[in-house]
Amino acid sequence: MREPRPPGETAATPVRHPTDGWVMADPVPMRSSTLRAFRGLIRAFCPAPGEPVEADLTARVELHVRRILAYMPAMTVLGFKLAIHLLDWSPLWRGAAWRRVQHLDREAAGRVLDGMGASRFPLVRLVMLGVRGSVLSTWFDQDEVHRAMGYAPAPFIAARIALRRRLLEGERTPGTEDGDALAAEGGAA
Amino acid sequence: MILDHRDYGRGGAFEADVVVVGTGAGGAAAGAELAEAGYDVLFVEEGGYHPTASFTPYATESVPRLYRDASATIILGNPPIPYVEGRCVGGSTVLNGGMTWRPPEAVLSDWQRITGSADMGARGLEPLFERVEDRIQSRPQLDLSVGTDNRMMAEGARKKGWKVEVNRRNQEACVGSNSCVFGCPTGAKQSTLVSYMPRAFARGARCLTEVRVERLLVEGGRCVGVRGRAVDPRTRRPGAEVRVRARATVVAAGAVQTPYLLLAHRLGRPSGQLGRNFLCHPNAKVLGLYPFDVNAWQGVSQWSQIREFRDEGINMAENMVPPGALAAHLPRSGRGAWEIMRRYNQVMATGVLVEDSSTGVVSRSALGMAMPRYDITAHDHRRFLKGVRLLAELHFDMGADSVMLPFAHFDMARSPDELRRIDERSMPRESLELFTVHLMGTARMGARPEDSVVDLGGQVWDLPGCHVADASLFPTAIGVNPQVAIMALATRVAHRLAEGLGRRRPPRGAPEGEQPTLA
Repeated sequence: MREPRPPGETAATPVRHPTDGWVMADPVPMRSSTLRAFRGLIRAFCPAPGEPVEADLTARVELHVRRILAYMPAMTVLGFKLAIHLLDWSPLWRGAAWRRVQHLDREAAGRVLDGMGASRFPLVRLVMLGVRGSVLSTWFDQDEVHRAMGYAPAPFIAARIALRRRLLEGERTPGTEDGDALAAEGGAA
Repeated sequence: MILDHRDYGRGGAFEADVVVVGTGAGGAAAGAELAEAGYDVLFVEEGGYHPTASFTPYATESVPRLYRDASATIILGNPPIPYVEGRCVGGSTVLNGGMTWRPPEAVLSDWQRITGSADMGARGLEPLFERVEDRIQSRPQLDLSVGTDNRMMAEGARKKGWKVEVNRRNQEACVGSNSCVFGCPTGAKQSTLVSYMPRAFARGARCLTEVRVERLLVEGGRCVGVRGRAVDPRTRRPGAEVRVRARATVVAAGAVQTPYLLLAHRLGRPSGQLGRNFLCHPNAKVLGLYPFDVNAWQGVSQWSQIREFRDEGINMAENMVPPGALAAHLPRSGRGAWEIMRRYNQVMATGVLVEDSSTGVVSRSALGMAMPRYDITAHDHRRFLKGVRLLAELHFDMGADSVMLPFAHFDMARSPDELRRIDERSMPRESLELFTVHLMGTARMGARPEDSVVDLGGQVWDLPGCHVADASLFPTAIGVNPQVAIMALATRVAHRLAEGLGRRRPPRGAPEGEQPTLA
């Protein structure tokens, strides 16, 4: 049992793994055949080595996606697992290759899967969106990838938190006017 | 006092004057008003309590914590539309962009006409809007919070002669950290987590977190509370049973989950409207890629909106999000994904929102889930094509070298000439990639049980004691960001409920001698 933070509560220190008492779910278990297929898809979806990758990044992506699956309804999880196999077999049932995605090279697998993503059937695209979206969202959320993109949210946000604190304490700097800047520039019609 | 999974043991039984299901825009506003009026309020929230200090800009940390089903939620139809909503104390107000638009006068005139009540018109709702705007600190942004992308977009639109309006947002000294979608890390955005909920807690309200309400308790034809189950944090499976008995129940779980809960009791029979009239303001993303850094992640999201096409039901706005959120909707894999995302600093993310011209339905599926269904109309389709084309042209006019489009088989335009391909035949409805965050209208408010689900006080026509206080109440779509309208209607529901509840307890936490008041 906790007491709520008062209004104007402490601002964040933007770090991973915040300590708010929240217990993260265990990763959803997968059969070995599903895991192999999933790893093949992760390899196809994610940018190749040479782009910013550390050795364990693929393993981190896999672990995280399995963890967020725990937050989805059971039927969604079942659908996700089926989608993994559907996509793994897609080169065969689309007549694009004689091997499953997990056995294709990265570029070829990516081409087949991107074709699925542009399908005229929305449900096929939806399958792609679910699996590819969860993988890419995780991959592009990693610190080493952020660094390669020139994106550094933690120091930026920390600086903004400090700025806001100063503003609330009464500091006045240029740009602190509360108002319609667009109208002031003559922009609002 | 906030309880979580550790506090329920093998089960829990609670009593209160009012139990409120949900802590988003509707639930928190209704609950806080009732707590301040002197009633013993107990919130039940499916998600967890995550204070400002725990917010980070990382998707991998934030999505499971804050989003329903880790954002794997979808509206079925042509085309299917992914949607997101909050599942945490504060609900979707923790994740939203913070716009505080009132519904346009024309919408409120419609509401007055449909319900036959002047209370639902502009004049009737005026004091409620003022009250809400005061409590969530609706105001324009500080100039220093506005980033390059927003200024570029407003300037570009102005050069085309388009009308641009600055948004009022619920914020106190927002400094534009651009992490709204993962919870405001500075505490500036006045989500209900930091506005209404603290007001309620200060008056002694309690909150049961990590409990999913499964059924209403009904005795003698009257709602007397709710029954739910605590969620095991490691397995996410339902655990201990939690019951709350109350003199009144307020359901504010949003326009998908509220009808899902009420439909379990076969309510809404007089009109058959429960779950119907589902509205969702679908929108489409258009990303401009520039040959120079825009750094759109540095500065507030959605400072202004292009409202030139408002009369056609088309709104446009900047809407930058962190890379983890942006990447979830990339149309390409591998090197193709990297080629777009390595230019993240050069990306300006914008969107086209189209006001609904049809309605969908939310039902209880045999799979044990809420199932929203919604098809866009041919009229919506034409408006999307127009909005996307105009917005893409704007990006090229502003210097973009390519524009990412929301079409399945035409995801990147390299020049303005290529935009000529955007027509109804080449880009059919099913090729559109849409998205939404505004869910409304499934338990519409009205004056007669024959055409509405709840009365003008929010009480379900065929279940006394059960009230609705969220976006489900909307009789029509509103064409703007809905949180102010939700809070205003929830405030009305709370006031009407308080008038009918009578006896109050001495307020907890209130200074001695202070009398509860609704004013």
